[in-house]
Amino acid sequence: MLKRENQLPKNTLDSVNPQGFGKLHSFIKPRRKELRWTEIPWEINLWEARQKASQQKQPLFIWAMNGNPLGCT
Amino acid sequence: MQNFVPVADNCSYTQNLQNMEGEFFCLIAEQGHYGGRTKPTTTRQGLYTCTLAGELLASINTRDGDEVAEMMRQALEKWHQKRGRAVEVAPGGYDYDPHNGRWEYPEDGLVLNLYARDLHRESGEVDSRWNLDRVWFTRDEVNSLIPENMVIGKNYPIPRHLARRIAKLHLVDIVRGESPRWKNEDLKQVEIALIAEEIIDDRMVLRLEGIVRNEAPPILYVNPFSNQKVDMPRGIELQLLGDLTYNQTAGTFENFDAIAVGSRWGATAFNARFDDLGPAPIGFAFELASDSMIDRTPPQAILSSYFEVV
Repeated sequence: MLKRENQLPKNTLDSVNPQGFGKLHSFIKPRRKELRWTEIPWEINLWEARQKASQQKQPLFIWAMNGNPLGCT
Repeated sequence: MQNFVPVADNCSYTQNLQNMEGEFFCLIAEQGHYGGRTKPTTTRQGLYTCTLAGELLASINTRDGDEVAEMMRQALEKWHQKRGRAVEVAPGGYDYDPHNGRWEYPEDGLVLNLYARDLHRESGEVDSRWNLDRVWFTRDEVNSLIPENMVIGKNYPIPRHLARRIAKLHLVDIVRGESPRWKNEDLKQVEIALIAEEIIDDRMVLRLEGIVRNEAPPILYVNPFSNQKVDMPRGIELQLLGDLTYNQTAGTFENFDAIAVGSRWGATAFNARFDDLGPAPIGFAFELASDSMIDRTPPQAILSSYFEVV
């Protein structure tokens, strides 16, 4: 759980106005540390990843989820 | 990770493919942590390391970083033992369509990233979980968003089917996990409009405003892991606000920042809300997606008649 962030009003709905818009938009978007997984050079197709692994002579690392792991899961 | 070729895959789709890609995934998965399992579900979610021939090195289903690291270490140890035999040439010459023609990225359309997160409760506390999705509009749909000869200050509702797509397929409580999309009859109020605030040369500064209210009766699905039943109604009531910039010459959005903020209640079988039925505050944020491979991931609802007019 996050602790209260002082820059957001207690009643969040009060900030659905042009003045509070920017803060809410920034709050909802992921933080930089929450996007660390995007720094990995994910292939998005299993077959093409296999071709690449053959070229690079490396094993595969498969992140398999119900829903696309790079999207909604 | 530099010792592997990492790939992300929607296994609920892949494990049911009747082609070499599906067969390859199943070959690996059946050697892994859920091999042979049919109850409570047939999911094969997890992290797998394997050789080109589909020989499993190690697998696990966890969110614990240390456990993942240990799995990778074990995998590499096995890989080095097998190296001479493991470096087979991957099968080639297989002519396949990775999406079986089911979807096409809207190259000249509009693609947005959508984020969903809980907002602060009255107590001031907030849960840190979040989720993401993508929103797609075709070229023709983008053109239909911007009426000709817009008048400053006038309210222009966006095409009904586009507003309903956003409400039905995207304003869904996915913060803690997947959730079924709404049905047409669940959409009780959907009003989304654009207002031109300023037009400078070929750039239009637009404000997006809207209200969405969706309500659905209990669907009585049972989570097979917890045996909890969805025996309560669910709903969402949101105000929308956005700050957009449209380039008339290019026919593209240069900026598309929007939020949908309000209240959610209820739970679905897999969205992990049984302990948090609400009503409670929730927020969605939209922004322009990049052209990266990750941002080209299709919307979760892409296989649910995504472009159908509802």
